[in-house]
Amino acid sequence: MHDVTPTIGHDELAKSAIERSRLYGLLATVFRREPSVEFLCRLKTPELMVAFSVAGVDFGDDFGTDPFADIAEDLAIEYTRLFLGPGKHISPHESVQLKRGSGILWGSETSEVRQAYRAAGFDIGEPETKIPDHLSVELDFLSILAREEAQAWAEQDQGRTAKLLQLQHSFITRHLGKWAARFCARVKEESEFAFYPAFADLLRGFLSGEKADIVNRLSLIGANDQQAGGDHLKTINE
Amino acid sequence: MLNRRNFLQVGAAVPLSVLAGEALVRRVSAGPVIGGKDFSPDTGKERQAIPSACWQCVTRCPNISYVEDGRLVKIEGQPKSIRTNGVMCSKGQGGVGQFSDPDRILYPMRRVGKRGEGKWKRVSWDEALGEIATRMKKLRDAGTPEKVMFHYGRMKASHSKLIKSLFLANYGTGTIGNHTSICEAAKWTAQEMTWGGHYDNWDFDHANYVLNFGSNVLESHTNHIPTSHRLIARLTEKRIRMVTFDIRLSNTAAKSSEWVPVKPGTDRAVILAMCNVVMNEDLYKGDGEAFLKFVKVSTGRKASIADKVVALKAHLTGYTPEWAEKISGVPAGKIRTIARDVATVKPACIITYRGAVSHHHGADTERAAQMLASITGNIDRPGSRCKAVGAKWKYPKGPKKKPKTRKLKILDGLPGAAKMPTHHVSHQVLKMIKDGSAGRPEIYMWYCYTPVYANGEVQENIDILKDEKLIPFSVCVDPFYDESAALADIILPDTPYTERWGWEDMVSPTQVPEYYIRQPAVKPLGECRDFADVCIDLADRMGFPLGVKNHEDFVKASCEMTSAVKAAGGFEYMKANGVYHDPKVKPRYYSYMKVLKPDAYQKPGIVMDPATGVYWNWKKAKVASEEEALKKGYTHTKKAYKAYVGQEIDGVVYSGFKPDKLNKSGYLELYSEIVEAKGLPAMPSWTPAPEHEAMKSGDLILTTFKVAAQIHSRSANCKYLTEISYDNPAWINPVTAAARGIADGDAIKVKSEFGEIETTARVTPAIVPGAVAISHHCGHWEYGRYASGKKAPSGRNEPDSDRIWWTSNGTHPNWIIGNRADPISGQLRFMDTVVTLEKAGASA
Ligand code: SF4
Repeated sequence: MHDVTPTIGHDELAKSAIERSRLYGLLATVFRREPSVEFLCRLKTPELMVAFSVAGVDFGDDFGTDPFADIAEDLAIEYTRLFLGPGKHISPHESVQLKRGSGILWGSETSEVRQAYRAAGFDIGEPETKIPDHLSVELDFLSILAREEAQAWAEQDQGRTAKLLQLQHSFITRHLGKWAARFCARVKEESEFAFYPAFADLLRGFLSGEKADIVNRLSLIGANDQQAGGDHLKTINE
Repeated sequence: MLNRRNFLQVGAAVPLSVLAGEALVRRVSAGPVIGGKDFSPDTGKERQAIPSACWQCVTRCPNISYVEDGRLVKIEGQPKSIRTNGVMCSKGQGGVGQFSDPDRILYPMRRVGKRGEGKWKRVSWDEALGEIATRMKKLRDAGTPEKVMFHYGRMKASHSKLIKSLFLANYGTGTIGNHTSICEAAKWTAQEMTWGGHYDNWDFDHANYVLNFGSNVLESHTNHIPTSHRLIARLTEKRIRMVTFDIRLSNTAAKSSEWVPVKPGTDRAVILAMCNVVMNEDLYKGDGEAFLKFVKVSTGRKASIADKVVALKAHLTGYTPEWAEKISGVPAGKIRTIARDVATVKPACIITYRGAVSHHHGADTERAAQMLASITGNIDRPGSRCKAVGAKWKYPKGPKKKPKTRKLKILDGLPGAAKMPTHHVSHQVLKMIKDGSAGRPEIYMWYCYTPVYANGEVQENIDILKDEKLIPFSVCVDPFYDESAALADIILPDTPYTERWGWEDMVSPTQVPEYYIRQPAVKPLGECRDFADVCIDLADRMGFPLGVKNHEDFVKASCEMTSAVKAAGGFEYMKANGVYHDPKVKPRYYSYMKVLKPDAYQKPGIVMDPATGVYWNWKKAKVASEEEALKKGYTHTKKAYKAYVGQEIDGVVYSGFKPDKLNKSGYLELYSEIVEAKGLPAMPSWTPAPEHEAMKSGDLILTTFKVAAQIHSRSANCKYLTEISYDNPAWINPVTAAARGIADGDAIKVKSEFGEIETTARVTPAIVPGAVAISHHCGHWEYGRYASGKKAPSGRNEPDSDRIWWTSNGTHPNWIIGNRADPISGQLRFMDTVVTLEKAGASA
């Protein structure tokens, strides 16, 4: 193993990877199912609300005043209407949404997404009923990769760090990044409450900087080890 | 000059010694791959091939479903099937769309707005089933299980056994509606009146002549591919003659040797006239005459063949070809020629379907066809219409003790609707609920059925289903959001057939039974669950376990219990092969001629009914004693047909034509005292439709039909199919069109007493004047993007919405078709509606 002496500390990089992982995780949870009262309670901690506010995430006035039970009920209906149907809805699946994609449920894109999980050593856990290219599964995948990346930084395993960063970059390039922004825009157009548009904004904003951030992080491996870092970047540029 | 011969001479001169020793290409299998294997065009990897079965239409062809990376990519025919020989229709191939429909329902839903408002909330299965079980249990505990009405559309074989025979029977409701009355009930009732158990297999493999009344067998049929591919082979390879009577030049008519246009609803007149010709020209002599031994054409049972001939001639005397010409528009000469052909070219297969029977007294049209087939000797012999043969599965029967079922008397239509509705009048169930005089269900649950769209009088169906006073609680079991699901209180997401188990038993065209199974090509998507599994769950929740774990277990147990299948290797064999037939079994013909051994009918409990000559088991019929059985008689004992043993004819006891649903004798009854007792003609007769008699000048008759690439109401969500068949202009003859100033492509209004629809005109000589024909599979206003043209919300659409290039999704004719019933069988008279036609915008 090469000795890594980063300009930014490993701890710092590990920490930011954890943050990214958690943000992916939060978004995965939000788009996975309708929020429970407990989830809303946890969401409304002062720290998180401040953080949301700083990030420009606005849940609307009702979120501050209405009882959680009412909000949960409204959002359950909203979630169903937006993402499940029955009837017209915005299917949260890559194969259905991808521009010029197959347009069908469990299309060829879904298989590619599943292959990407498998190639990275993952698969959908039983008895999860989500289809592999559901938005929340894709986000969950990135959350796990970022979490493992954090560990790799902490363990100063640069080969593994680089690999995990490459996987994230490749997955965003080939999958999530290709459809999420368009999907988020549609969610904004169709929502009745501010909740999902707020998270759609958050997802879009966050994702838009992800690839540059990943390249930057890879280059930080490079800063410590020109040889290794250069190769990693080369892989991405290819 | 060098030519090809010169080159070949070089080849001839090459000695083996000059060839390299080892070939580069080697054979790796016995022959070319003709099915059962498929490869990914991208990776070249072999796809997983799963033997399964189609469920697009009731034919339920065995299929092979190909899966690549968990994705159902392709469905093709099962080459090992003796029913299909590996052939599959477009609908079957398009079934991949059931799996991949982006508008599928993946989770249980509960409505949260007003009924029909379209506001829903996802609920867990536990919550949905908890509520349903609580409501159902309450009704059961109160001694009123009949207040749960279950209404199904397509439910066959193992699904029917699990859901109906196990779950509903053990729950205790008999308020079970079906959809046979909108399909072919008239045919079935007529067959039960004449030769017993329903379903006629058409043995095209051996037919030398086919006479068709109103069947579009090459595009759609209850045994579509198994029969149609044989018919095509026979027509093309043996060049046999086929004559099709139809109001429209269907593709079947077009591929026939001759299309004979006929006025709507008048096939019976033509058939009766053909019978007249056959009898009067002594064309019955030979096979027909011999067959008369097994036929009843008058009262009593002692008539000689000569008596029978006299009776038939007497009955048919007025039904001359000239008489029929006036009614049907078919020239008398043509009727005579075809009658002579069908009587003399042996064997002839006389076939009928909805075009002929979906009318007033449609059951009598089928009886008339039975008459023509009988007197020409074309019954149950190779090449004719035969008694159906299907697989006989054994299966777990569930708890031994079942409650006595109770039912609301709402299944057989409005009072006086039909005199012999042996398959119910389910299209009038909603009217009966509205009427309320026979009680109303508290829970109305429907499965694989769309009461709104499939029946006539669509607006009334909507109004009733929406009314919470009439139907307090409704449950829809459906993988898709169709027009009826939109009006439910709870939607349980069923699996499409691509994700479920089942064993199947559909009729075999070879007269040899074929056993086959359906297995899931892929795991159910989302939280979809096979409704058979859901029923097992519901039974557990209500405290009456059915003794089976799930549908897969049921299929497995059935494979082990059914001796033929078990001997072949049971469940494992079926999973690997999908289909099984015993190669030693001979095709079954002439089953009625089987002579019973004395020990079959000379045993305690069995008596001969002197009035009919029927041997029957009075003990099985639950009669107290032999004296009582003899006194009451077979005909007048409730459900005595279930105790039928055989039929005595001229001192010999035959299997005969075993009755079903009616206490008929073992004769093929062209004369039916049972029918006569209901105030209906004892023999097939001409009875015109009252509304046709009352038609005014300018009135037309609306008929409907099916197209090759769609089934009636469950395939328009399959994108490949709807891309082929997305519109359904109204066919009208140029004469009809000219009289109204209508040109091809004009927007038109079609009006009946039930309402009006707007569509476009397809002006074509391929339909008789005086009729309008509109296919029925279009005009969806729900059922997802492909079927309805409704796109997902927001300005920017999803790619597969943007690809919908067709701009019309057609018009549903059922808005203007009445839910009327054939007064005999109760069949919905789809082809009888009187309409007027005008150019849209022509009237204020
Ligand atoms: S005939 Fe019916 S069952 Fe057979 S493949 Fe076609 S749609 Fe499927």
